[in-house]
Amino acid sequence: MSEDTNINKDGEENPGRFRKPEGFDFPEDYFNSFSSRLFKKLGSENELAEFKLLAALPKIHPFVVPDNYFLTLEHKTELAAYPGLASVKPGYPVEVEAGYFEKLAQSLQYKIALAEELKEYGRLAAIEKVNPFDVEEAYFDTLTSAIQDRLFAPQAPGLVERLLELFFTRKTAYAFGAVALLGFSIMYFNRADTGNTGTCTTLACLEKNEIVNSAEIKNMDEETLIELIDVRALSDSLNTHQQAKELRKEQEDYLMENVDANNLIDEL
Amino acid sequence: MEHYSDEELLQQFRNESSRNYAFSLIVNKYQKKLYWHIRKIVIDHDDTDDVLQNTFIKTWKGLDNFKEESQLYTWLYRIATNEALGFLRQKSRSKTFSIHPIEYQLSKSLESDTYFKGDEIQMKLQKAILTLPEKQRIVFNMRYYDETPYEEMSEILETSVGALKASYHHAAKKVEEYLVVHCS
Repeated sequence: MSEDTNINKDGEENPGRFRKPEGFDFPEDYFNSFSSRLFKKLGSENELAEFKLLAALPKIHPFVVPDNYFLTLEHKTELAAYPGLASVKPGYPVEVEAGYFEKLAQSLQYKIALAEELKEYGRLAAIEKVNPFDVEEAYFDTLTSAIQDRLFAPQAPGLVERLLELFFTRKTAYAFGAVALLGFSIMYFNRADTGNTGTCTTLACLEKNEIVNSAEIKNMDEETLIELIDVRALSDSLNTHQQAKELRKEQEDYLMENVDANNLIDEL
Repeated sequence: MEHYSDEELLQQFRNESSRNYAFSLIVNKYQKKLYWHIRKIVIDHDDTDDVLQNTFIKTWKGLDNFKEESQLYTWLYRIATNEALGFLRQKSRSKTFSIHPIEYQLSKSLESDTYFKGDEIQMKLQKAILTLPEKQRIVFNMRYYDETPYEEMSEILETSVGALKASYHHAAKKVEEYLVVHCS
């Protein structure tokens, strides 16, 4: 790898070009070929998805080689000068979350699907997807205590509660109960005086004025009206009326025959 | 602070001695996610703060009856969404005499928001989102910004995946149309 990859032909540094940190290096076309290699990997993941059992198996090498097998003689010679370093088992010093690599492919696929979905909406896709809202960082430091204050702080009684406490003593409660009981009793007895049992649903049980003023009845035809009449109740009512009329006639006759006119005048 | 799973947190919450500590861990774990979810619905920071606090207070009161038929995260999002929508309805009722609809009020609130750091195009995008009906707005925000999978959204919003996809499509189309008209 040449040192002048960031220098153009005029010997000036290429402005937008990424400058490699000193001491590190990577293949020339690493970033150019990254996406194609990624898609290739995703393709092979998809291919494996068809074979569920095979896909479920962890993809690991079952074979091992003797320690330091791959160390070249040159390396071995070099390391021999540093026995402390040579005793360290080669490996990665950092660890990643368990299952990270398994989730990575899935997560990349989801990101690609989201990007594809957004492509349909050109203007929207062109906008940088950022959260435009802001909040003071300290806000989250105090939120838990603010919530706990609201949860556990003794609450002052409300206006209604205070009024109830003020007026609703034991004595007033009894008085209020007695008044309520009296009120309900009056309502009940007044209701009983109407003579309406509440179970009768025929015309015979209604007052004459109620029938005459009822808009529903005005709109009914003759046949419907007849259906509504409880013949037995009506007959009983007419018979009672007739009997009372006859009794009154008998009483008048008796009085006319047996009572003297002078006595009658005296009584009046 | 240690990282506990939701199951561990719930177990600790049910234990009387660790109840308060477990609740503070739940608040810490979900406060930011829920804050941003609510903020995109009610726009104003102070209103968001109110709704977020109410969400956690309802969580505290309801956590004993939480049956774990759904995930804690889904349940919290559902409470937050309902609280935010309830807040907007209350706000719109309390401003009965205002001739402007709630969306207009939110748009004005956005313009005067000191905690809005977006540029002109971001402001237009937010205004476009505010033209959407309530439910579409939530679906759009959850999909576009939070990149929530439809299956998860379906559990939170109690709506079928198909309906959510249709809702997102309509919402994105309307936002797109708004941007075409206003960003020429």
